[in-house]
Amino acid sequence: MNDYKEILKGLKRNDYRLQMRFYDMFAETTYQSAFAILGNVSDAEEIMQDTILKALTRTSLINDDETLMRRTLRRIAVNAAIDVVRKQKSHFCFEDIENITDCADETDISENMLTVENIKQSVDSLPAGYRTVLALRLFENMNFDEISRHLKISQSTVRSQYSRALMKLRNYLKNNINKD
Amino acid sequence: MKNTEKKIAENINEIFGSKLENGHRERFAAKLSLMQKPKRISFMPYLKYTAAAAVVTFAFLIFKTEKTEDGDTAFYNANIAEVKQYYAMQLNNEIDAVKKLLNNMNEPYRNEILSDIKLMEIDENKIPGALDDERKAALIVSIYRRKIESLHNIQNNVLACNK
Repeated sequence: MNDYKEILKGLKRNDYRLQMRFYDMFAETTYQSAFAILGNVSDAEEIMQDTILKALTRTSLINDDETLMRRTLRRIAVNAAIDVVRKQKSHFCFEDIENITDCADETDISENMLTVENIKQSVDSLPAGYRTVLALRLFENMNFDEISRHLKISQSTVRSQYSRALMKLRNYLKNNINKD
Repeated sequence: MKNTEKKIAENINEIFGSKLENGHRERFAAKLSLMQKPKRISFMPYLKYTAAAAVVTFAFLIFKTEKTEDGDTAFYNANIAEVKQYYAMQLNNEIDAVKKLLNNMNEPYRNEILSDIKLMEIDENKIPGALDDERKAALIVSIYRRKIESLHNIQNNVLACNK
């Protein structure tokens, strides 16, 4: 019997040791999904742990397939993280394009500015709505239709907000990284 | 895909990821332990026993009434209202004692016990009028005694939980 099957058997018996092994198995990926959207360590940990606890208490959420289980937990964590953003902002509001006066394009960004550290800094500076759209598209590999369903906004809004998020990110790189 | 997007996609885990903070496992273990509820103590059986005992006593008294219709009734010559008042007071004292003990209990358990107590506080108005005073008094005494006994059991269990 493989490791995951043994863990599932243990969950049925409320075996503490195997519940912790279940946690060890899925904590990292579930946490990363929440963190990608929130960019906040403690909120992401809270969501990850609540997600796993929910799975441990609701047997209907447990999947025999390890990959599907991982996907389920990530999906729950993503939804919970979106709810947190929504609560903070009351809705997904994005900055109006007219307010973005400086519109940097790819030619404004030199190759040496595109370091991982600089991009990470730029992503962290983004408003929650933009960060969420980028995370869902690039980290969760969702298409625009899936993102629109998750955020309950139209697909065209998702597309435009995704472009604006990238533009804002480039602006940050151009205006902040250049100065250093 | 343009340069910026490409660079993000290539380094997605470093850009959007973060390490779990130290102690996360311990924090989860603590949450998990909290989630494992303590053994649930149900107080409902006591109420069931009380109700069953009242029914049995009632049936017994009816049976006895039929058989000893001309028997001696002098033994219970008490005023029904006085008997009821006396036992109702005792019952209230016991209920107050239980309520005091509930202060340290978890809210769900406290609410459960309080709802049980509420059922006990319901006055018994279904004593048949056809019974003579002696049997009415006996029935009232029996019902109140069972209720008080149940409250003693609840007190013992709550004390055991609070230890």
